[in-house]
Amino acid sequence: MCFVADAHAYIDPNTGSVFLQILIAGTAGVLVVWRIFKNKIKEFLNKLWK
Amino acid sequence: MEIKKEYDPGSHRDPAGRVFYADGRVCRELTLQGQRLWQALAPELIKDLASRSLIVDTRQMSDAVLEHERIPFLSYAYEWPFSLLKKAALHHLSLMAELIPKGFILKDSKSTNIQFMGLSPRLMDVFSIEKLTAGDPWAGYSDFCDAFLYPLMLRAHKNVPYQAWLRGSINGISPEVMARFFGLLDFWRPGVLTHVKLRALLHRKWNKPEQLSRSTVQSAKFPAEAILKNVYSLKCLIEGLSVSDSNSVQGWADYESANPAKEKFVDETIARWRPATVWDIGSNTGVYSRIAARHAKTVAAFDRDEDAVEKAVIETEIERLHNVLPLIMDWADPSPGLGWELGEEKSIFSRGKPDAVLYLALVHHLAVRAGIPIELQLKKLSTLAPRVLIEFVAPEDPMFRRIAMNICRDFSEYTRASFLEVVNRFFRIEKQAALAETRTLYALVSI
Repeated sequence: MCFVADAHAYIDPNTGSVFLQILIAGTAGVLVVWRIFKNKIKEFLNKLWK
Repeated sequence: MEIKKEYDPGSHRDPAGRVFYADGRVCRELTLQGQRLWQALAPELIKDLASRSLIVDTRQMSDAVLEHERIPFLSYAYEWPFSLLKKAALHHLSLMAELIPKGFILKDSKSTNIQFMGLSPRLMDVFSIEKLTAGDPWAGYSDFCDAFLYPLMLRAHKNVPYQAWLRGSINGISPEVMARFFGLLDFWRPGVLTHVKLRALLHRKWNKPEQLSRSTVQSAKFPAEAILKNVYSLKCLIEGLSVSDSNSVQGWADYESANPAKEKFVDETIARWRPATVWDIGSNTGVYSRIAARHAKTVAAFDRDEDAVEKAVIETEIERLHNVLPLIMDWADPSPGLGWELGEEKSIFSRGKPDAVLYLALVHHLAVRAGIPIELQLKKLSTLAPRVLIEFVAPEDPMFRRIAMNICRDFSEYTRASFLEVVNRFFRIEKQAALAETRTLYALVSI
């Protein structure tokens, strides 16, 4: 018997393509990544600091 | 009298409205959303793009109905040789580069949105132009890669023909499949690392909508300049793609030699018939398509050999003809309908009928190679067009002998007498001319 995790999860292949557009956008992309992930980045840095 | 509307089954995706055909015209019935979208599109922008032949001309008939310029012959990416697919891709990107600074964008990048008038590409789906929403990335990037970029890269870098692929999947080639073609040694090729490998990786890792929602990207203010930069870099990448290796298995592109008597007969027959639309089936490099184009409004030329079709494109460009469209198609396995209800990309028999057909030295090919009897071929032609110019090649002809050499099938029923017997059942012979002892041209009119 096999089990499939997240079998009902909706797959949207466009999400990866949107992220790619951000990654290849150069400096503008870095700013967008910062705006999207700033909370997570700050959280991560805080953990490192402590 | 009320004009009968025939709705296009392929336009169901568009929330703006449905395309219908009436009285030989192409119209679009707008929904309320469509009417709002049409008002949002700057009329002067549409007028300007149409006047420069970048999009099909569109005029407003009433609040809820638009009329579009008619495309003489619909064709699809799997029928386009490399040069035409490249032309269509660059046209799409040029339009993007023009629209973005004006605050608009093409919302999707389906290859069906681009159609050819002669060899000149046009955006057919005017409603794929929409106002650029601040902060939004390019929604059509994914479609563009699958439908345009990957097929072109596959042919240019790996010499893999994309036509069968695109005929098998209306959405093109997925990044996961595309990535398998490229190994470590291909990383230096422009676009492989980013548009193929990285995209495939991200598709595997980032494939749930909640991982990166549209509103998150919008609020992070994805700049329009970044879309424009991507468009220019893709344009540069595609401009640099070319085909160096031949994919021709049989070398038909080098087969055709000048035949003044045949050219004269074709020229005189088509001049006499004056058809609006001609299909040249088994056109090879399109010599006779171009002769037919002197007297017809539109000529669609079909051949299964990509090299021959590429040569036809080049010759058509050299002669500056605006009414010939060379396409890849095997008449023994003609273009099918694709997509929802098989109507998003229409089958060859759902794209209107020609007024005349050129069927030169093809009967024996289909009889020998594909085993299609003369009777079935002529029956099909008689239902397809009222006039057919056909060349019969007798079994004694050296070319017949060559192609039949290794085929273990009985061709005893393939004779001039049986050919004429079938011809007389479906057609009247208007005129005929012997080109050689084993080759005869017939101008046929359906009974």
